[in-house]
Amino acid sequence: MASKAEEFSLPMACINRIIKESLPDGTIVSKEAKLALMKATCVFILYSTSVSNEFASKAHRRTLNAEDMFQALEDMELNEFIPDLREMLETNKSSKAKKQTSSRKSKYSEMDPDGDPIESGEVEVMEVEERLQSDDIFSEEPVSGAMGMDNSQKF
Amino acid sequence: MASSNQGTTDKNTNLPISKVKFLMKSAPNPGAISNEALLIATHSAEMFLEKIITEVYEKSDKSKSKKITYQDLARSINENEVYEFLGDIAPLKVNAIEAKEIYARSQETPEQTD
Repeated sequence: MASKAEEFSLPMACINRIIKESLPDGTIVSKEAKLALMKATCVFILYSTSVSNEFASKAHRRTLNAEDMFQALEDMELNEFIPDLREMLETNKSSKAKKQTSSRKSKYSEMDPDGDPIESGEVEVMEVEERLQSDDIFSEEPVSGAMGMDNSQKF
Repeated sequence: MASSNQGTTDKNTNLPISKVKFLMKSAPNPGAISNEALLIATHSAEMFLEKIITEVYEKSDKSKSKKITYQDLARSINENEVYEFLGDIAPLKVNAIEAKEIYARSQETPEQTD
């Protein structure tokens, strides 16, 4: 039972950090209050997901969307969170897109100056061609021979 | 707040995403959870925590003590209708004598409460 109770929890270090950041210096929060806050955030997560699950099932979807979460927050009268969260999502998306493009660029930029990509590409192509040829050699000879024999015998 | 963490893209959230995901999956009728929903849940949980603690601080500031006690938290949670869903998470502390009185009252009028 103890392990189950521990599972429904968040690390206190994170909770402490958030509390510290949102309060002016010098304020003390009792241990009991911190524990209660941790449990409250756990319940908040559980409740918001269950509410948004309802919205998702109403729309006959099985996966939780961002829109479901926003609707749930509206339902919980926490509209004030929504604009900030939307901003966060957009910045996250754009940063991801930047990451992807930058990683692609970096790959190209790493390869271009040395002229390596062309060589490596050629090598790859050559290898593939060799493989194809070898495959052809192995596959064609017996097949053609057998087929030829069969054909010649039949016709 | 988040400005200190803006440089590191993966550590934008203070709460561990894996824990939040576990909590979300243990909610009733768990389905699949999109990454966006997960991000929103973690961030909103953070904002929720900040909101509660700042409210409690503002309320407790009027009394001169600088310490936020459990009783301050429970009072502000029970006063605000937005936190109705927290229900029995943070009940107000009651003396044993008062608890006895409340229990006796509830025993006297069980039909009315129902």
